[in-house]
Amino acid sequence: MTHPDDALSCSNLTKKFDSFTAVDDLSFTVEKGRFFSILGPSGCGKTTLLRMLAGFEHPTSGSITIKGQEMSNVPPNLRPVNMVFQHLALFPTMTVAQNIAYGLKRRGVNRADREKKVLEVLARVGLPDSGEKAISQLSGGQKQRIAIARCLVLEPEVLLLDEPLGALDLKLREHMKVELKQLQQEFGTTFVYITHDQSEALVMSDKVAVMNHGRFEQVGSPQELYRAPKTAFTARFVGDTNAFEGTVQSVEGDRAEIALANGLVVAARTESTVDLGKSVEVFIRPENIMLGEAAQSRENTMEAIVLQELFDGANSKVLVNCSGQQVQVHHSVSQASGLTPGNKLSLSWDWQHTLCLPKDGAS
Amino acid sequence: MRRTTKLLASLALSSALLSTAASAETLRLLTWGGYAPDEVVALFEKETGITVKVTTSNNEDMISKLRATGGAGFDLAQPSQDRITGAQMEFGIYQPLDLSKVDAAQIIPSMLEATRSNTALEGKVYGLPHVWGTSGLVVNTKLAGDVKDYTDLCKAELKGKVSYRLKRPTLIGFAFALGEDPFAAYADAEKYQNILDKVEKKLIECKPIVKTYWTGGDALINLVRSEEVVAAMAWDAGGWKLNRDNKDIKFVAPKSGALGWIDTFALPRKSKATDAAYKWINFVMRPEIAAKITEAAGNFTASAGSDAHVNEVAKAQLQGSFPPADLDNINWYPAVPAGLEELEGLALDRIKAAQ
Amino acid sequence: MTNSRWHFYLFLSPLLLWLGLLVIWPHANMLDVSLTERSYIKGNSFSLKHYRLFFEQPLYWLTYVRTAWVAILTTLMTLLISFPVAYYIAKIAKGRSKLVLFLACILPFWVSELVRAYGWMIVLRESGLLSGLLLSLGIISEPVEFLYNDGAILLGLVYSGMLFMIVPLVSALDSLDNSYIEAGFDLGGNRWNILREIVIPHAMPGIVSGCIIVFMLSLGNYLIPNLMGGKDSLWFTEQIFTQFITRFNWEQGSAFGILLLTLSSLIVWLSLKVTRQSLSSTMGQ
Ligand SMILES: Nc1ncnc2c1ncn2[C@@H]1O[C@H](COP(=O)(O)OP(=O)(O)OP(=O)(O)O)[C@@H](O)[C@H]1O
Ligand SMILES: [Mg+2]
Repeated sequence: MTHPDDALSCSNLTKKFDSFTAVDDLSFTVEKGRFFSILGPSGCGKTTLLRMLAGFEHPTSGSITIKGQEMSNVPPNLRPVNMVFQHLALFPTMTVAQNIAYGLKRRGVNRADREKKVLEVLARVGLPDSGEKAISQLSGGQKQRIAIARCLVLEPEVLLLDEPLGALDLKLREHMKVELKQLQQEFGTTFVYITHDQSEALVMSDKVAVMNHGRFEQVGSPQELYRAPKTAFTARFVGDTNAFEGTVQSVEGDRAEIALANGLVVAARTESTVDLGKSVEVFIRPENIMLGEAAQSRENTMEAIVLQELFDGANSKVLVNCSGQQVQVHHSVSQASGLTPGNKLSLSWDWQHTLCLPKDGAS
Repeated sequence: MRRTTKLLASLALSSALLSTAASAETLRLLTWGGYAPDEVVALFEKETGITVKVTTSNNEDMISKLRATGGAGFDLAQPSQDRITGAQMEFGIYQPLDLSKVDAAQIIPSMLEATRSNTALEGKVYGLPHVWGTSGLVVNTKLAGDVKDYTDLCKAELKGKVSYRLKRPTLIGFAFALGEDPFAAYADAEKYQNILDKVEKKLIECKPIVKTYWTGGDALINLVRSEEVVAAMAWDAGGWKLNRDNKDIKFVAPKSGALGWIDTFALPRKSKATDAAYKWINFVMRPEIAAKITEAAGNFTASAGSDAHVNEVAKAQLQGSFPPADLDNINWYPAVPAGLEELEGLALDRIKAAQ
Repeated sequence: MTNSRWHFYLFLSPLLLWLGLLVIWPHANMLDVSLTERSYIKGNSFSLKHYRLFFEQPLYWLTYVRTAWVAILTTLMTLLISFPVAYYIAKIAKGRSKLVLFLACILPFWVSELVRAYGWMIVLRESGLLSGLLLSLGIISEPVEFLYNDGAILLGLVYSGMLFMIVPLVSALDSLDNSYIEAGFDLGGNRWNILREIVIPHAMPGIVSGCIIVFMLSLGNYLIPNLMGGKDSLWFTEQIFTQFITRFNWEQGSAFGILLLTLSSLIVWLSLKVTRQSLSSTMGQ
């Protein structure tokens, strides 16, 4: 199962706190040099998983292999991984340079080399002159970069990051997303990145694992996850979507017809096998729905009443009511006329863009 | 501004209230533990309507307290007779007594005479006798029966089993036991220093034998009761207290004489209730009241005829410790001349520092 | 005068009164008394006599040095014993057991120091618990006196200092987020250098403030050296007490008091310098 190109691989990894299972029988591998994200809602076990990788928690069962070496008896200070903590944990009693030199000193790197490496890594993260600064003198984004530099200077096999952008404000977070990705490419280090923010995961990652209740729902590239979610949970969690509940009326190859709760019947694409009469969920992304007259030509149509326009520049949407259910629809700025609340509209979309998945917990 | 005036007015009012409270009929008594038992205070308050506020203290503390205020804060104090004239000359904290206000018939004449001469300054008397007692030896007769004098506390076989205080009574007691008469040398500083040198040498020699220099009466009583200490220099009342639990422990008057002290009544210079003070003196010297104080304090008083009211055990203990000859042998402390305590202090310091 | 100025001074007045009446005035007074020579004949006059006597009498300055030395030793021992206890309470114990442990440390301090001193005396005395226990275990063949020596003083002082060390240490260590310690391990540190480079620097204000308090309390302690010390135990506070209370020599006592104040200020200042802490950062703990 382990491959020489794998930086990290886990098999049947489980962690139980008393009777509560935080991480449930996970097996996965991360290839060398990849940006691997774990995306999941709060409490799904992300931090627990990461702490097992770093060595701060002992797995209840299963094994972790890093660079071909089994880790179960290796203490955290001897593992070839480093971690960027959620609140960074930069030592406030030391200067920036001392923080970065800490790990080198532990490895017995001599003073001259230490100083050289510190300067080097500071230059690479774009903060060449801040070695003598105190931690409290840094801005949020600078702290972020120092925390990463402190780990990267040790040239770890895998860098673990636990929601490092969580504490930043939105603007800086957007900026740091790009920067992190660039840093990762520049250093070529394998990143295992935890987040509950799907946009972070989609923007930065080569591969994303969607995690729920201690299990991975789906692992794949951001595009795969967005286009072809395999579970209702993934469909709901990755990207914006409109969800409807219904029952399967007929199946024909990968095309199914579903009777929705509001009485309408829609056609949808299905990859998993869905049986007749089963309750399912149907997902349509807001950008796949057409508004107004042009809509008539598509397979699925619905009449709706405008509730509200959600203006957000190029990402503007309109909120409409379809027989009691709220639906979000993308609209281009040019279409903006006629979106006054109370107006009637017709919606339409292709069946290929409509996804039918078994309800969570039903399979 | 109106608020400020109101504030000032209320301040003035409250200070006025405070001062009236202090001038009501109260007697502020500065005394020793046991000298003003609750029962006696209650009887006095009932009879006279005067409230008594008792503060317990000791000789040094009394002088310090009165010195700090120039003799104010208390209406009646009870220093030992030998500590009055010295303190009076140095700090002027007392006022002379009006003996005509005292019922002299209630007081044992010899004691009245003793304090009258010991506490006189320029023809005026400053002290009246109240409670008297001695210090001598408390001996566990089963374990250290042959301790008869202060210097016997230095016997090698008692190593680690004796205790005494590092205070002036020890210096005086050892001086007597070494055949000197320190009281006779009080007036002659040089002679007194010679005696002190001799005592100092002896006490330094004794240092390996002593278990610890005791500091509090309770600590000593514990040491003797547990038989960790078998002979000690201590007060008679402490010895009697121990005797009630363990018949082997006795208070022994040393061969060279027990040291006698008399605690007196003295009026602080700024006493605010002298009449109440005289009333208290006359009240507590009544034989039946004095007997109650003897039971509370453990020591006998100068009240004539109070023996008759004291319980049998206490009476027997007194007679056992002081056969008539020993009673006559008591060395009563004369008044301490000013400056003498400094010499003693230095000697005590040197003993403490000696290795 | 504007109304607000008025109010400002009105609010400030308790502080000024407190400083003036309880801190500055008594000390100024003490300094004044210590520089006075009392005489019945000539009246009072200025004199350095009481300070001279201190330096001339080996007893006095030896006691002074000894007291300072024992107080420093007490402080270091208290720190050494309290640190692991505080660390356990702050970082290792969880939930209820944390509270219980903390209470167990504080509980003895709900009784007076005198009672605690007597408690130790009951344990250490010749006929006491410790001696009895060792006897019954056959380790010693006859009762041994553990009381009345310098070790007993040290024990007593360390015991009464513990609380004042543990409380600031626990609060300092509590404020150290566990992630710093984990980050230390993650970067390759071991227990020892994490303690030295991360935990101790973080806890430094707590350590220094605990040490200052324990040092001051030990230096000024009268009861424990007096009750638990032996016949050779010399303690400077005792000398001051003797001068004031038994000798009525307030002038000498004041001189000693001023000297003790100087010593403690000097040592505190030095230790702040050495540890590069400022008084405000430590007392803010
Ligand atoms: N030491 C522990 N003891 C008991 N339960 C724990 C412990 N640590 C975590 N858990 C539980 O395990 C579950 C997963 O926790 P974890 O911290 O891994 O979540 P997370 O995915 O990181 O969430 P968040 O996004 O909020 O940080 C939670 O329900 C948590 O309560
Ligand atoms: Mg987490």
